[in-house]
Amino acid sequence: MGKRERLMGHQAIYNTPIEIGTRAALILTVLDSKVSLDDLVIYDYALLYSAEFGGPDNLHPAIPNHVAEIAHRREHLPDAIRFFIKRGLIDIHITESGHYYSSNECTLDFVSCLKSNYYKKAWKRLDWLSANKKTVINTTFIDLATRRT
Amino acid sequence: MIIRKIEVKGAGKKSAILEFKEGLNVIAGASDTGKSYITKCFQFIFGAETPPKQIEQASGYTHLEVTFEQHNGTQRFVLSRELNEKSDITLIDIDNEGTKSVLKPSHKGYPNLSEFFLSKFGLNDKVLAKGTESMNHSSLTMRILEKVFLVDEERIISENSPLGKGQNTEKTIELSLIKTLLTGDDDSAILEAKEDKQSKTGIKQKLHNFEDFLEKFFPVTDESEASLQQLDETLEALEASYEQAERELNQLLTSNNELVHARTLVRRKAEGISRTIDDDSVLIDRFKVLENKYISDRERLEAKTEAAVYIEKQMLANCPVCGNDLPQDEEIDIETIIQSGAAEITKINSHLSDLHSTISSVQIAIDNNSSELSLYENEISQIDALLEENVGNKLKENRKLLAELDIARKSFRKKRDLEQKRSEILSEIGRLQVAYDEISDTYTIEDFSKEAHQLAKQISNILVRWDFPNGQDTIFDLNTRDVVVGNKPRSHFGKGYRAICFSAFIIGLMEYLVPQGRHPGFVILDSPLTTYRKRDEAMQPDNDEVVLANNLIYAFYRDLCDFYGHNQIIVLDNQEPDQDLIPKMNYIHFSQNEDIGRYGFFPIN
Repeated sequence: MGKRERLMGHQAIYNTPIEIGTRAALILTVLDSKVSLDDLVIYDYALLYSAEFGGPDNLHPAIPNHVAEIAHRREHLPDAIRFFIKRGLIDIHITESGHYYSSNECTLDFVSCLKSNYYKKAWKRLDWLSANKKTVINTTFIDLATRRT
Repeated sequence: MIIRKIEVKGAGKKSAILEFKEGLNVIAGASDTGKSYITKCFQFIFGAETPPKQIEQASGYTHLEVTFEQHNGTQRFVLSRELNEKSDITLIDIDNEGTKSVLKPSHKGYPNLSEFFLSKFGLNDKVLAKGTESMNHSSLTMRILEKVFLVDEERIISENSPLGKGQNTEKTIELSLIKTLLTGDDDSAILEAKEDKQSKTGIKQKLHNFEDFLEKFFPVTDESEASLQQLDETLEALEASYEQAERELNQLLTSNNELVHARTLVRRKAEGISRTIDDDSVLIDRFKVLENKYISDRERLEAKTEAAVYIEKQMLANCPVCGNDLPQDEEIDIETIIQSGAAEITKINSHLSDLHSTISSVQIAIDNNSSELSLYENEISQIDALLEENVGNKLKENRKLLAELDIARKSFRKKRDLEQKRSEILSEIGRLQVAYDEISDTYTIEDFSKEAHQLAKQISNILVRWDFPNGQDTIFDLNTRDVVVGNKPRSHFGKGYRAICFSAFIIGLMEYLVPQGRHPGFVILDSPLTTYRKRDEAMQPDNDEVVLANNLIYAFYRDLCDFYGHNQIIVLDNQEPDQDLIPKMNYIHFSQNEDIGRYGFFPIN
C-alpha cells in the first residue's frame, strides 16, 4: 500500500481507521480474547446492527443494502487495526493457525476515556455482544442478507 | 191363400166336413146348427188357447183339421190340432210327401204357428207399439192379425174398433197395427225410442251429479262472481300499476343523477387527496430515516474526534515482531481532524434543521389534507344517505309491488282456471240438458193419413155398392180406429148397421192389402147381417135393433158374389141369401131338419 492510499483512509469522514479501529478496540476489550480478522468483521457488524441478531436496537440506522458494509469492513479493518497496533493499542498474535488480535492494558485505558454519547450507546450493545457471541459467530451471510434491513 | 176344407174328426165318428171354394162361401142356417162352433174352430186352428165349447153334437170328436191352399192348387198344407186346451198344432205338408212338423200355437216357443203363417205374408218379425208413454211393444202375432180376417158374432157388433178384441180399447196397438198393415212399415223404432227414453234417467242422473259437483267445488260466492272478463281487467290494472311504479323509479333515478354526479366528483377529489396524504406519509418516513442517519453521523463524528484526541497522545510503539521502529508514515493532524469534524457537525446540524422544517410542513400538509378528506367523506355519506332515502326505499317499494303483483297474478290464474272449468262444466250441463230435452218422452206413430184415406175410400166404395145410407161419405177416424159414415161414427149406429160397417171395413181392408201381399186373402165373417135374433128375444129385448133393409141385404150378397172371385169370403149367418144369388156362391145350408138337406155342421148319428 502506497502512502497516498494509506492517507486516504484518514481523508474519509466516516469509517476512518480511527472510527473503525476504536470500535475494534472496544470489541476486543469486552471480549477479552484472541479474535481473528473475520470474526472481528462480524462482531463489528453485529455491534452496529444488533437488532438483526435479536439484540438491542441498531447503533447505526439501517440504510438499504447495508449488508454490503461487511465487504467494506473486511477491506478496511486491517488498516485500522494496523494503525492501532502501531500505537500499541491492539496486540497482534501470529500463530500457526493465523493472525489474531487482542486488547491490552493500554486499550483498556484508552477506551475508559471515551465518554461521547456514541460510545455510551455502544457499551450497551457491547455487553449484549459479549453475552451472545456464539450466536453472532454462527450467523451466516445468507442469514444476514435475507433479514429485513 | 184360401181355406179348402175344415174337418172335425173323432175315433169311430163320421167326420164333420165343410168344403170351401174361391169367392163367396155362405153357410146359412138357424142357430144351434153349429155355425158358432165352426167359427170357434177357425179361431182354434189359428192358435186360440181354448177349443170350441163342447156342444152336445161335438161329443166324441177329438181332432180338428183345416186344409189351406196357396197359389191355385199348389202349396197345400193342413193344420191339425187336438181339441184340447193348449194342444200343439201339427203341420202336414201335403205336397211334400205329407211331412209333419209340430208348431206351437202361441208365438212363444219355436217353431210356432205365428211365425209359420205370418211369414207367408211378410208379416212375421213385425213390432207394434203398445204404449206411447210406456213405449212398450208387442210382436205382431197370429192372434192379433186374426182380428183382421176373422170376425165372430160378438165382435162384429162391437162398438169398439174392428182392429181390436172388441172389449178393451187399445188405441196405440190398434193404430200401430193398421199403420203396419197399410204401409208395410212397423213400429220397431219404438224399441230404440224406449232405450233412448230409459237413457234419459241416466242423463238426468248425470245432470244432477254435475250440478251437485258444480255447487260443491265451484260454489258461486260473492267474491268469485268475477267473470273471465273481470279477471282480465283486474290483471290489466295490476300490470298498469306495475309499469307506473317502474316509470316512477326511472324518473327518480334520472333526477338523482345530479346527486350521483356530484358524489362522483367528491369521490374523485377525496381519492386524489387520499393519494397525496399517502405520498406525504411515505415522504415523512423517508425523511425520518434520513434524520436518523444525520443524527447517527453526528454522533460518530463527535466520537471520532474524541478518540483521535486520545490516540494522538499515544506514542508510536515498536514493531511487536522485530522491535524496530515502525515506519512513521501516518501522522494524524489532530487539529485538522477536530476542526473538520466540527465543521461537518455544523453542516449536519444545518441539514437536520432544514429537514425538521420540511418534515413539519409536510406533516401540516398531511393534517390539512386529512381534515379536508374527512369533509369530503362526510359529504359523500350525506349524498349516499339521500340516495338511499330516495332510491333505496323506492327500490324496496318496487320489489314489494312486484311480489304483490306476482301473487295477484297467480291468484288470478287460479281463478281464471276455476272459472274456465266452471264454464266448461256449465256448457257440458247445457249439452246434456239439450240431449235430454231432445229425447222424446212419448213415441209417435208415423203419420199414415194418406193410406188411411185410401182405405176409407175403398170402404166407402163398398158401402155405396151395398146401398148403405151416406156410404159415399165415409172416413176412417184415426182417433177411434173406426169408420165414420155420414158424420156418424160406427159405434153410434144400431147393431145391424154396426155389423155391416164392420164387414165393409174388413172386406175393404182385404181389398187394400191383398195387392200388397200383406193379407191371407180370405175373411171369415160370422153374422154380418145380424138381425133380430129370436133366441135372444126373451133374454135381452134390444130396443135399438134395426132390421136391415132388404135391398141392403141383397146388395151385400150380390156384391160379394160379383167382386170377390179372386179372394175368399166365408159368411156364416142366419139370413139366407136371395134365391137367384145362390148359384153365384158356394152355398151351404144348415136345415136343422133331420130329413131335409144337411142338419148342421155335425152329421146326425
